[in-house]
Amino acid sequence: MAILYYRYISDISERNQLVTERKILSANATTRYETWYTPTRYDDPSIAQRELALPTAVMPIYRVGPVPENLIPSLTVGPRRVSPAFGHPGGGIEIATTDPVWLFGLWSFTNDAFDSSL
Amino acid sequence: MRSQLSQLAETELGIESYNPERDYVAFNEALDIVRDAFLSLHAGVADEERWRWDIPVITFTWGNGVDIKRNLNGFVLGARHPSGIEVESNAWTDIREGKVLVRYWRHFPAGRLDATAITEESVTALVEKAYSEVNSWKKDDLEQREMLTRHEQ
Repeated sequence: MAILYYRYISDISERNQLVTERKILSANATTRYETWYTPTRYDDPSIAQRELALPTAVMPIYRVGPVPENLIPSLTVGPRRVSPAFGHPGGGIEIATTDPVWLFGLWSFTNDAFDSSL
Repeated sequence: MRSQLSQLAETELGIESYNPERDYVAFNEALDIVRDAFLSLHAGVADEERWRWDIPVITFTWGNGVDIKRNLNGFVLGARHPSGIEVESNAWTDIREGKVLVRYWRHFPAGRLDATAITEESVTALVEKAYSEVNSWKKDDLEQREMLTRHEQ
């Protein structure tokens, strides 16, 4: 069975990129846009923070997914178990990739942009 | 020009991490200070990693895979520009107990420096504190317990 991945976003600028460009990708060029995912669907951001061992100041505000594994052909990290950090035990599973994931979008010829209402 | 969404994020949602123009170079320079401090202390092999989950953090992980594993994290605070550094360390071991995988672990927050206090000396002192503490721990010192069963691969 295909693995499904989810990304948790805590930076609003990445949310804006996702909406306007229909692309999931880190904004950090210094890591070659390395982008992190987990196969776990968290409905509670505080549990995501705990199991992904994210700092207290970095609470996820969005989840994007599911992304089928075949859309992420090459991994730079993982799958691996998350190490403890920032007072959290970790224990979740994480991967990373430098591949962008493109989402379906509704392109408006009138506005020359994706319709962000979808 | 700032978008309505950006303003909403800051004013109504109170999202401090709103960050359209993060100075990645400046954050990496701060991470380099932690790196230099760690490498001045640690003579063995360690895995080095930066920006896990887009967090401005540098992580060193070491351990022989048989005994406990250890890490040290240097986290650079700030949205657009570095405003401080936090250093902390952790040790852990994952043990199968019947059908359950259990993590025994321990965390040590070494402290925080504000931007005005960041010097090579002050960062090295903080890294040394975190490093010496985590290196002193044995398996019996890992006093926290977490079941990891729901993440079996």
